[in-house]
Amino acid sequence: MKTNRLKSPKTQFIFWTALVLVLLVFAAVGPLFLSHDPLKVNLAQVNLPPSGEYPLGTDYIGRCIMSRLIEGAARSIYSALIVVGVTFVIGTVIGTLSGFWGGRLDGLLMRVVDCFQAFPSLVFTIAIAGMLGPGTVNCVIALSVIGWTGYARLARSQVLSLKERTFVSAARISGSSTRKILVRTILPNCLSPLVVSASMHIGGTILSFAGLSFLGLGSAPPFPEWGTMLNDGRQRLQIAPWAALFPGLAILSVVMVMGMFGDSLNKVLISSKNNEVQS
Amino acid sequence: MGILTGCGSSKTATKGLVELTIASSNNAHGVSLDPRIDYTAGVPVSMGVCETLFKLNNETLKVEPHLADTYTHPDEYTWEITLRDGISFTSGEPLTAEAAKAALEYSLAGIERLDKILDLKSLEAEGQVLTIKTNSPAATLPSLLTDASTIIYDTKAGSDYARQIVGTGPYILESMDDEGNCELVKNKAYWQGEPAADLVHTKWITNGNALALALQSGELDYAEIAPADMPLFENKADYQVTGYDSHRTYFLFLNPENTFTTDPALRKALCYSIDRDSYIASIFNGNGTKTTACFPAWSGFSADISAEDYDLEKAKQILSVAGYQDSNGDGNLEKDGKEVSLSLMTYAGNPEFPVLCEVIQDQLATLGIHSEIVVSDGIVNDLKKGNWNIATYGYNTLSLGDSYNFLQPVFYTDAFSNFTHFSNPQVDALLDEMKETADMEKRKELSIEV
Repeated sequence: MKTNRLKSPKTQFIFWTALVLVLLVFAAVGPLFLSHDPLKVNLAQVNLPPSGEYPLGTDYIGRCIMSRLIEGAARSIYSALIVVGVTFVIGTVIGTLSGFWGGRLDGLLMRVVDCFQAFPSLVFTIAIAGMLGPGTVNCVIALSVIGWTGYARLARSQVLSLKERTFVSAARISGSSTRKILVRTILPNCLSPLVVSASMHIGGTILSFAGLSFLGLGSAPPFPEWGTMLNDGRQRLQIAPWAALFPGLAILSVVMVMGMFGDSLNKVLISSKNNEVQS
Repeated sequence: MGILTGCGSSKTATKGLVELTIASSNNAHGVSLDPRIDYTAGVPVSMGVCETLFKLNNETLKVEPHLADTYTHPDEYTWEITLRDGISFTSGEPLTAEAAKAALEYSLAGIERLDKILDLKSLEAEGQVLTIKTNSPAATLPSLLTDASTIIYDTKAGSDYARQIVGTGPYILESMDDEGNCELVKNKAYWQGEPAADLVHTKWITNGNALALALQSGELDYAEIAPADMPLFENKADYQVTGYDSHRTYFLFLNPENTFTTDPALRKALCYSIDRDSYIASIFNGNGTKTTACFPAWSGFSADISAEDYDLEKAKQILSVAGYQDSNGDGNLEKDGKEVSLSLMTYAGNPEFPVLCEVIQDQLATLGIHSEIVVSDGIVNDLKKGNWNIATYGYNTLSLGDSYNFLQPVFYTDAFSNFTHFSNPQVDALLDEMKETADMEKRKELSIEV
């Protein structure tokens, strides 16, 4: 069969992975190459439109928007990655234990998950972040507290279907310890849907994070975060539209790239699984 | 300075009625018109529904009789106020001393602030004469009766004050919905002549951005807009912009009782790092006047007070003399081995304040002083807790046309608004004297001395 190489899942996956890596590197080292101090207030140059000196204009107290966007990228992107990492680990561990042991532990843990999922997640996150008070770390905590439940459910269902399979029974009969069965046999086999789910969540988490900082629950001033910048810009939308436009575009494009990355990862895993079945 | 903007043309409906839509944003206590809740009565006053016995002339700052006609002050504790003849509430009920007494009694029962200042002994009504007796000498009673909370309304017209209030003003409140939007019709029999607009709709909009948009879309004919949005309306043919000098004065409090700001040298250095001129030019878009006193000079309540001008070099010098040094090279000053860190408290109710704090935070950083901005949800309570170093606050310092209503709560020992716990027996004595002095010139002298 003839396949368009550019459309093959693998090529797409490589492309989006490269883009994500470029973004991560840029967010990490970008702040080292800024043309202006992102925190420097200059009341003589307030709300300036984009120009050679300030490529994306200045904000309401004369700070360089481009420098602030680059400075804020690390906070906005890496905090989301931390949230995804933390929720992934916690959720997977809880879900695996719950599914493997079943019984009362399973019942208890799943009721806890039900409780968490009974509320709209954004409302619940805002409530927790609001109680903890504004701050990047608090936002990470709030998003992590809510986020693990999806992974727990997914991991549990994977484990439930895996633990009755013959290769698990074989491992048990051959005398493997419970820990060994869990770590060596079950976990590797239920990991791929979890990884896909995590990669799809990165974009959403960046968006939730931006949402929280938009609502004033993010980092304390003067440190920039994209959501905060968007909110500041929104209030002066008619006078200095660039102050809201560029943070908005930054959020949009990063969330899109992360989404495409998750999508392409999913496709690659599905196609490799299909190949496995065929072979 | 306040800024008002109006559209050039007002909407004219088919029947030839003049209709106006205006924004209202001054309902501090949610949607209610109940005059027993403090500061609520400002709404019926601003809508032209209710009026007070006396009125403050904003230009001369003189108190003039309004619903009152004449008044006498037979002794220190008594005021006899004769109401104007021939005025009726819009319900048709005539305005008598008895009606005024009933309204004042209802309102004051719920307003502790005013009840304390007035210190009433009794209210007596006979025909058009209202006799007010106080427990302590009340030299400025007419000025206190310009407070919106002393509005006169018809207590016989119904008791659902949350939604309906009947006054003597140029407009009659037809209805108010759950969001606080009101429908007003003109009072043809208004005692000062028939008002110009037949119908007035008030829209409850507080967000500055939404206000500007509503004005641009033509949804509103008139609004009070934020300084930051001024460029959208200034010098545009479709809009007429009028400003007025308000007595709203913005303050930065330094807390002499908390951590680093207990040091007079640091407080001095902070005073030198406040750049009033550039704040006015950029944050307030030029709508403001630099002042070093609590009251504008023209009011006569304050003499020229010299204050520290913006001078960062001088601030740095003071800090280094006082022993503030960056010995570990982290860019932040230390005093006695402790990193200096200040808490800057502000609130969002005034949209300029958080911006101002961000600017001050940056300016302090250039001095090597770290600061953290705290945006408070309940500024008065948080200020009273005392765990702040610098705080923003705004006062209308000449409310009711007199400096006493600002000086007493802010500077009298343990008074309501004395957040820095200022205490000086001489100031207390001067304020006590001011309370009992009726002569305006003498009051101004006392005010200057304070």
